[in-house]
Amino acid sequence: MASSHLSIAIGRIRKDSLAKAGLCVVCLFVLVALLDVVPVPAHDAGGVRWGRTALDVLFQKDVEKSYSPPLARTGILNRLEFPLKSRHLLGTNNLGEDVLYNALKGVRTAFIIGIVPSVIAAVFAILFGLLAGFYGGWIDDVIQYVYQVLSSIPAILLLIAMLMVMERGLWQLCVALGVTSWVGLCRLIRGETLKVKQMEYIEAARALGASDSRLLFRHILPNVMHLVIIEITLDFSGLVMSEAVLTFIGLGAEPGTGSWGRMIMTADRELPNGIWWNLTGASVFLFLLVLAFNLFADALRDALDPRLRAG
Amino acid sequence: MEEVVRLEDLRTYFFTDEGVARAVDGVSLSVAKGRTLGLVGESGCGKSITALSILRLVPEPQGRIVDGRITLAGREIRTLSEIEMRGIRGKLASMIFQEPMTSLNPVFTIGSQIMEAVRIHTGMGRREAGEVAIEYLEKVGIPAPRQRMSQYPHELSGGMKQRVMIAMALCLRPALLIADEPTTALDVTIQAGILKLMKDMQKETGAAVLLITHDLGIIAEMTDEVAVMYAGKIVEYGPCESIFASFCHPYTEGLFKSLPGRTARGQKLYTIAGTVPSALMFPPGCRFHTRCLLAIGRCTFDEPPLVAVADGHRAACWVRAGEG
Repeated sequence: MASSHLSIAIGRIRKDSLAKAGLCVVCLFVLVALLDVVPVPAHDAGGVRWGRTALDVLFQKDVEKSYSPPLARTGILNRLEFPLKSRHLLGTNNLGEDVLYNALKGVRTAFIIGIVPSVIAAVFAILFGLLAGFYGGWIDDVIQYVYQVLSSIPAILLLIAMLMVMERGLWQLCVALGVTSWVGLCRLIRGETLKVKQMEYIEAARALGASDSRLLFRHILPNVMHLVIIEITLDFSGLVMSEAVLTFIGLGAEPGTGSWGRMIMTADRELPNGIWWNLTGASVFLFLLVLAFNLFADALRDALDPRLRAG
Repeated sequence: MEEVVRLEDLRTYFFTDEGVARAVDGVSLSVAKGRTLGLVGESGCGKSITALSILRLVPEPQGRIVDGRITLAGREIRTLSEIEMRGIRGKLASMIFQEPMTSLNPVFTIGSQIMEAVRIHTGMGRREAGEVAIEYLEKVGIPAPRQRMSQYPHELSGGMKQRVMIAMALCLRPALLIADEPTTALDVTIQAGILKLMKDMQKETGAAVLLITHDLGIIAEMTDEVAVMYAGKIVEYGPCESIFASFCHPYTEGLFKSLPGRTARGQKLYTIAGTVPSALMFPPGCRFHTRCLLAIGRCTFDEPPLVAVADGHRAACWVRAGEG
């Protein structure tokens, strides 16, 4: 019976066990991120406060005085409650904070950084790419000029400039990354639009009285959408890693936001003293998420590749 | 008879870097309600551009209708705004394309595509439009139309797709149906069915049909009148029987002679020597004279007009049609 390209794609992914494993790991990470979104009420003298999330409740540990190695027992409180809860599985950092907890807090940030800039970039890329490819002429020239200029400025300089203008923060970082990274996708969409607009079904839709906006957004956009999906998934891991890099050079999210980049950043002072667990915790999480996502994204790209579509 | 479409001295040129290509250069024709006009000619002679000009779909900005009148159901097409034109496409005049394989959008179900055609021009809701779509899928002979509605183009065969295209083109009962080589891409076994369907649908809706083809067999089967095009011009125009009984222009003669059936077994197939001249540089005089076996001196500098050779039958040839 009826089967859309999407269901064909899903069928292809199902057959790929690496992709499935990747997807499972990604789902675990998503679960952690979601736990970090759900607020849990805390009762105290001042009434009900909603400052803590489910993740905090589950994993937050007592703060020690300073570093403690993995599996160290926690401080004074709840020592006897649960054996696991009473230990710092991955040790603590220089401020005495639990490394595992910090790493888990980084998951939500990673997802925000991995997805939001791509979506912002996709909006620009789709709009400009479609217009440039469809209308050609001076509209194409102007858009091409804009992105040639943008792409000729080193991205890191552009980011620094934008972050200096805006306040520092996670969402500002997302906007800055999004606004500076739409060029590649825009080129792809422009090229694909040039191809798709020549197709006979576009001519046929025109011959049925479809307007330009209908042609653009109803007929052409769905035919270039696979590019957008592929680009967003492939960009994810790069963006997650760029967060670490940007934090390292001091452009990351404000202190207090969970961040693997910050954990890695402090490692230069820790490693010489034999304190490896802070760096390891962040790196393993980063590595796992990026690897899992890449496995899944590769399979998704293969599944959505129009050259492999059933004719 | 009520005239649905009338072209008068239509000229559509393409302004390219290499020069001006006179793709359609002074074509006049008309099709009446319920009648079929066949437009015949080699590839690149301007048949398709003539058809696209009627819907004002000539690829811009290179292509432009530079002169002539196009009257569709009493309205002068060339002076309409683009928005008015959109109201006409699909509703007053619609088109079936050559390639059913690529004429349907691969990412939408066929149901939604027919419904879209209906909903662009009427205020119908999804349910009503769906009913119309099912009705027309049934009319074009698609079995189990209700189930087919939710299928994607790649799940249909070429013949089925062309039937869907016909349903899309006819679901608003346009006065004019332009069919641009509707069966060229199909299996011979399916061609006959599609042609019969087009005939039946024409009978039912009373549409005028402009049938573009290079297949003389289809012309004989389907059309009431025939216009033979060569190098952007009509060289012979008349009732189908009259042309088949007594073609006049040497080019038409060449087309008939090159039919495989006319050649005895074992003999080489007849071909018209040479190729269609480039639209950038047509020869002076009669455009066919470079390939014509009958050409006389006058043909090389003086362009022959279309003159009557029989009742309603006109041809443009100094040798065969004389001074007129």
